[in-house]
Amino acid sequence: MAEPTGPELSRREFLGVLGASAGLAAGCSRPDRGELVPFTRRPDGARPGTADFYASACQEGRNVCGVLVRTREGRPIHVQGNDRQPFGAKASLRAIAGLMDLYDPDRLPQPFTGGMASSWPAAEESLVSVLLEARAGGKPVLLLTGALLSPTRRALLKDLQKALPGLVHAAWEPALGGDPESAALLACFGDARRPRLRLDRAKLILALDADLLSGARPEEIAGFAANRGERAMNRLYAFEGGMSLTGANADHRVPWRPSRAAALGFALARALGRRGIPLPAGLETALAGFELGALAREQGVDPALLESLADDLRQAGSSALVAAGPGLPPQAHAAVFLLNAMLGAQGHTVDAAAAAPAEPLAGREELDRLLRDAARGKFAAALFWQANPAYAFPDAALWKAAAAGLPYKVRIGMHADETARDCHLVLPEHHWLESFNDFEPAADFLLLQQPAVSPLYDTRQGEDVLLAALRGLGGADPADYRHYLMERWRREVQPAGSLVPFERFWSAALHEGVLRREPVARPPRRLDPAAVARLAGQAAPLRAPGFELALGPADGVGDGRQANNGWLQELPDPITKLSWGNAVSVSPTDASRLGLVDGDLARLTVGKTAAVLPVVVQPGQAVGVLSAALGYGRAVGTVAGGVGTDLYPFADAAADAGTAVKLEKTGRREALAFVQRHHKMEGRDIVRSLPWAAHGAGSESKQHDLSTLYPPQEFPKHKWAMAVDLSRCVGCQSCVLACQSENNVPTVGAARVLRGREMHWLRVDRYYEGDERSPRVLLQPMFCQQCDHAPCETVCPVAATNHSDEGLNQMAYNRCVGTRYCANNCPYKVRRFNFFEFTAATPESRRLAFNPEVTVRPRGVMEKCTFCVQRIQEAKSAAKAAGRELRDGDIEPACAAACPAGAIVFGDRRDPESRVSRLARSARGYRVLEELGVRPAVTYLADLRNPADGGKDG
Amino acid sequence: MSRRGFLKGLACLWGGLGAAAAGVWGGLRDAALGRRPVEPPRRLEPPQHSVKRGWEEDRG
Amino acid sequence: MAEALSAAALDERVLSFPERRPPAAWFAAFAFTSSAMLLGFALIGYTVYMGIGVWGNNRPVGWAFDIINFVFWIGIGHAGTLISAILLLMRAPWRNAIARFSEAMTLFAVMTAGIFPAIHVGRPWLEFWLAPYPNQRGLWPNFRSPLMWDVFAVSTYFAVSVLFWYIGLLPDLASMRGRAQTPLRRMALTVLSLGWRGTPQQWRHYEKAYILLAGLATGLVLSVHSVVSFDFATSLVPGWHMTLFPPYFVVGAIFAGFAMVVLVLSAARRLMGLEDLITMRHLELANKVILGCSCLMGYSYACEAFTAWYSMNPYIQHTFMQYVSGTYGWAGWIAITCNVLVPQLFWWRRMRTSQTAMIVVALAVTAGMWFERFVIIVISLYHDFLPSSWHVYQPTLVDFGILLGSFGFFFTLVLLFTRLLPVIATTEVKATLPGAQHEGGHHG
Repeated sequence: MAEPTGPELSRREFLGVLGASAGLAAGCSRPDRGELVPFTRRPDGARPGTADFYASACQEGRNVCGVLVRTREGRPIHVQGNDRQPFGAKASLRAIAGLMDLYDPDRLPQPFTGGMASSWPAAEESLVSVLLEARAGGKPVLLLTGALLSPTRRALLKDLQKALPGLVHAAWEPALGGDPESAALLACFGDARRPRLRLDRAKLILALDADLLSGARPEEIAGFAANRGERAMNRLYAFEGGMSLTGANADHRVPWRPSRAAALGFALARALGRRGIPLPAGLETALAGFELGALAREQGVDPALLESLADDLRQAGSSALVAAGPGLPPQAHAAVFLLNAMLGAQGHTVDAAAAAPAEPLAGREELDRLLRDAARGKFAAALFWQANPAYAFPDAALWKAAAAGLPYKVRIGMHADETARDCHLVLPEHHWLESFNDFEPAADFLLLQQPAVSPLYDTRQGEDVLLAALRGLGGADPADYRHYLMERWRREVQPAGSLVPFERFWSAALHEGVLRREPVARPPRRLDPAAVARLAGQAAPLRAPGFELALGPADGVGDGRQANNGWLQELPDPITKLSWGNAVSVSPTDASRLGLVDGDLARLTVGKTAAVLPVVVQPGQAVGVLSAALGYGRAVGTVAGGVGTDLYPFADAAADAGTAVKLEKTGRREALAFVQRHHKMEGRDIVRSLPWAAHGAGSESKQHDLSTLYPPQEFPKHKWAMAVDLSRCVGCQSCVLACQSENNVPTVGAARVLRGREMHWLRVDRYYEGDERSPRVLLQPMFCQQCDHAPCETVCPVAATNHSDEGLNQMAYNRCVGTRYCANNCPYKVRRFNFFEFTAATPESRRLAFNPEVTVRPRGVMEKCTFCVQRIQEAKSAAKAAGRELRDGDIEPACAAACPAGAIVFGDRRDPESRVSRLARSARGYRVLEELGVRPAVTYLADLRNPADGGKDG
Repeated sequence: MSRRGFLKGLACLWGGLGAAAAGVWGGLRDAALGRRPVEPPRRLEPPQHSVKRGWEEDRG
Repeated sequence: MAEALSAAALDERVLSFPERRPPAAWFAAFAFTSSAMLLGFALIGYTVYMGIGVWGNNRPVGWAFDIINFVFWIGIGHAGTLISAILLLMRAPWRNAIARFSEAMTLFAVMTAGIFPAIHVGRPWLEFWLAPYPNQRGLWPNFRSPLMWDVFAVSTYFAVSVLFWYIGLLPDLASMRGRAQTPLRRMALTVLSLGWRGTPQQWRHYEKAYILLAGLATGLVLSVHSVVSFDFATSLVPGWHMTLFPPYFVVGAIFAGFAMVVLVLSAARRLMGLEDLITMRHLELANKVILGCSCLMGYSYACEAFTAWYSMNPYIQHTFMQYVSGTYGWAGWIAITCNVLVPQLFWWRRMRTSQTAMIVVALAVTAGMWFERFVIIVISLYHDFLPSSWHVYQPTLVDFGILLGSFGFFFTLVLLFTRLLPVIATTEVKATLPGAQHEGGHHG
């Protein structure tokens, strides 16, 4: 795909940009209800009716992605990827959804002191006085945050530390379970920098419980997808306990207990040793106990598969990439480091040179210690910023004691959440769309975050709160964080000796959103075999019969921070297709042994902690492994409250090999809001999957006789079509969310999903094929196929749907009376009916997220995918205004623009050289339900799998 | 049964049904529409210090 | 006996009903049916206010109780038309006593059925867009859509049935006018009877009009339900897309209609003391029609099974298996039992002429035919082409309430009919009385 690299800012354009920013500062507009009030002095460059874009960045825990924010009439309406960022120009799933959090009606609009509405001066005064008192008395102050990831934030905290020596800072990401990866890095390499995974350079990928292909990792998906196709094909082995998207897309997926991942890694290292790659010194004895054959037998896996994995690794050499999931213990990470080192992948597919600065996170022991100190009254005050211990800390009793022992608590956050309930001072924070910041995701580039809208409420950036504290403590500092940021960039980021004035450098950087720089040259780090040997000795033995519990952040709501986001709650889990809640996934073998079926309520007990939650029987789940998602069971939030079960109490106990995990039937049931309820293709030709070795022969396309009595429709100028490459699609559902954001698709809530009334125009269907203990998983995005012989068009009595002369099936919302005949006649079932008045029921602040280019639909009206006709029209207008023809690639529907894998391609079939035309001619191409004669405009390219045996077993 | 008595009884029956319907109506309407009073943001202005991308330059 | 059958006596017995105070049983029945009707209307109002979401419809089951009820009630109307029109043209004399009542039932059934297309759309206040009227936007409805054909078919059916029925009523209304006691009543009946005086010329016009309308209505018996079946047959949903549907539906309609006729007439003749006018012979003939239709229904089911097997089309085969197994298989078996098995009792004359037996069978057929529409609509929709969209359908209380309300509406109208108008076409019956000579006219 021709990725626009963007022209350099010409001087003229740059001056225009400068002028616009100045002008914007001068102009303003007030939203009025029902009245249109023109500007009396319109700011330069502001054009109502056209979109403005701002480059920014979105942080999520330890990940950050560059975004481009589309705004209309002063408000952000859509988030997509920043095409200027290196490696994968797409936004993560939760960045796209983050738009909804900006307009969350539950946001705190102003500071609160002691539960009463307050003002910033009063709040700051209160905070500063407490901090001064603490400093005077020599008592420490606790600051609990999330991962920092921002060099300027780090600098601010350093400055604050200088002014307040008693400041104790802990960075904590509850869903990462104590950051075993950093511990392993420190032990084995002496520094905790986490390397960049270069999937685009990898021919062979081995994922040990590592979900590399989730929607939170657009860069990895892009790298993986780049090597999935006819010309280049990598091979992915996934060993995991629960089923993840990585496992679903793997060429070989093996159910494997996570506690034995380390053992597998070490056994593979020994196997490599037997294949001519020598083990580092001293490891022969340390790894003597790890034997591939024995492990295979223990896990019930064919030993030949593991041997062929070792062969593949040997053959791939430095093009191999081994990764371990963040939740695995340090031993597993050490095994992975060893493998990568032996294979020579370090420096190639595992790039430590480009790694971001190390930021080890606080583990359970450290937090325990801090909270116990707090309970004893050691701290004078505590500030909680981007951390929610009242919700996410596993030991509720300890937290309660700590909260009681803290005389003064401050919450800096966007909501009155669980932690805020106990706090004396609640300070409302900006949303990231209203904030300035910088991030360092890698050593060779920086991402800048800038506001796309002026703050909606009386909020401040968390950094500004800390700056105010710093000022109060006597550190002379600039007025706000923006200046602090600019100062640091002037001093440290702008290349020394540059002749460009800083303002220009700064504006250019904000314009691009990305700044590339030369990483500081470091000697390559060496793996310490002794550390590896030590960790190998701690590799967990096989657990006694019983379950092990694997917990991780939910694919949708993440670690729970965005649980109040309706889009994310309604987005189904990509594997279970469950929305609005979590469930514990159980293997079919265990489920039948315990007498459990989907929807049964079961009691999960780990040590002394117990919870009752519903069960999902998961094909492919490893026997003896239970997995479930964190991020649910929030106590507050209009959307989030009471949805799902809070599993944080189990978070650390689950990792302890010694604690017994039990699952018992309670006899009760709960209705589960599945978006898809049937998982088999029933022998129907819906998703085709071919072995890569055979792809040249083409898919077994049946020739369908598509003769018709009617003359074909003429498409004089354009014939829009799409191609979806199933071998690239990983099923992350970023497209679903982007479509929802772009087209004002409503969320309907759990009760209506239960009734089968969810409104997503685009869905990703997931089918299981084969043996349910180790199935093949097939994923397929399904949306309106814009059929040329659309069965929906003939049956509408009021002619509300018809075919345009550009090949689109048009839906005239204002003509629809809602007989639903079109939906009955659609074989793909992509039409969505507004059973209730969803749009008017949207809270007013959430309506600000609506895209004004797309009509909102009232009750009783049918809606469906339009191929983003508004974007088509926009591009045509732009081309016309510029006096040129439309070019292939000018138009990108929201789904295509959001897909990290580049699996969705849109274009003009009348142009035989367009990408979509070429893809449609591919030997892999086919159309779903073509035999019905509806002539869909979407061509699917069959999924390719690359198993080691060439696909002999299909 | 007298005509008056019958009509009275019928009127009570219809009245009761109507009242029940109205009650159901009102209660479920608000629940289904999910209405709750919420203050929309008072300000909606473009950011003051940000640098935007040109419109024609790239639409992303 | 002879006395009871004289013309004057006939008048007295039939025409006096609307003039008398109805018995307590009528009031009780009316209270019940009108309450049900009111409940139905209230729930309809609730639906229009809140949205179709208060029903059980979902994706993929876009049509459920709404269209089931529509097809069900339209079907019930077919018996009346067949009895009035086709039997008239076939000159079957036994139709006379039951023609008026059945024709009235047709009318009421069509009115009841007509509620459902009106309320099942998402935006009923815009439903008038289905009518082809010239407008400044230059928009016509889509005539290719079977729903438009429904609009024409059902409205034609209603119009012709109303005319047919009304014209048949004129002489009786005139007779009632002659017996009117109060001036108000006399004036009302004068208006309603359009000043009928019974002159030979008027009789000749009457006869011609009656035969013409009968001819029109005859075609409708076959066409209306065929057009309704096109809603399904012209779509591509597996299980719907079959050429069997038009005759299958027509037979099913006649079947259900006759069952309802048997039910209502059995009650009416007993409660109104008309056993000698609406005789067991009438009912037995109706039961024979029911038996015949039942056999044809059995043939239709077998035809569907054969088509599913012979077609080698996996979608149709799967759908057919879902008719008799799976989540809703029980509905399929209810339909088969009630429609094909139970009516086989009518091979025995004792069953055909037993009041209890025929009521049981008629109830079974009514229920069975409702379930058959359920099977056709819900089961075909809930499991269609892409298994990812398969979803169970669950009706809500509002669905049931509106169904109950439709029965309430229908029977309220029937009760009002018995109270206000002569239930038997006295003029026609008189013409068949032995020795009776009506001045200047004979027909039937």
